[in-house]
Amino acid sequence: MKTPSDDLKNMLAAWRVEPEFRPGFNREVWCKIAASNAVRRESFWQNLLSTLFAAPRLATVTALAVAVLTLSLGSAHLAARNANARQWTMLEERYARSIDPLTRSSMKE
Amino acid sequence: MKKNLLLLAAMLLLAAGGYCAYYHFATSEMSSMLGKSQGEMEWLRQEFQLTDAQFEKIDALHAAYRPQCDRMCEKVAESRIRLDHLIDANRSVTPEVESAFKEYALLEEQCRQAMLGHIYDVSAAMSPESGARYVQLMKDHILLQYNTSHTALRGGHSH
Repeated sequence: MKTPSDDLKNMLAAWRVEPEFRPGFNREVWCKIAASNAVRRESFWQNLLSTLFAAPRLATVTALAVAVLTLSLGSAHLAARNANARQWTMLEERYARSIDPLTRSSMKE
Repeated sequence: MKKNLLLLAAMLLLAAGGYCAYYHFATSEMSSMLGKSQGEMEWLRQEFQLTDAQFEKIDALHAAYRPQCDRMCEKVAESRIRLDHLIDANRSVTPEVESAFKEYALLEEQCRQAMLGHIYDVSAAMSPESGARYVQLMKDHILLQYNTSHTALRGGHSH
């Protein structure tokens, strides 16, 4: 015997949803996602900068830290470049000595 | 006041930390090359941008030259010691001193010629441009050495 619930089951089984998207729907969705990501990134940096420079003391300390770090890294870069050049010359001299019997004999004595 | 001192200490720490970290990072490769026993060969490879084949050939040339170089080095050292003793033992230029001087000079010439031969062999294994630059660089070393030894023989006076 047929029950009302059988009818409902049959109706549900036969039900097909065919959504219709307007043209350019996908593109619009991706554009919205990209825009929201950009806003989030922007707001992170804005938040960070405004936090760092909000209080005058914190701003001074931050500026000082940046200056100190720039100076120390700059001087380290120069010192490392000089040290590398010096060591490169030492390697060149070591090579020249390694093929020169006269220099090697002087070092032996 | 205390806060300012603390800030100064933090800045100094930051500066020192940044300096040390950067310096160590930037010089570690060169220091490791200098510490290696064959660091000079690595220098040659990088300075003249040698290919693996060129480097292998040059390494073989060096391996073949090394025993000859060692023998010459021994001979020169012996001759120098003999000359040194003879100079101390005499008060005039005896025939023996003269002969020791000649022997020493002859050995020096032989060493330079052998070294120059090796330099030409190595340069031939490189590209023409690198080979020419290598000869030029090694020539400077040979001539510098030559001038130094002649200045030393002349008693430190350059004429």
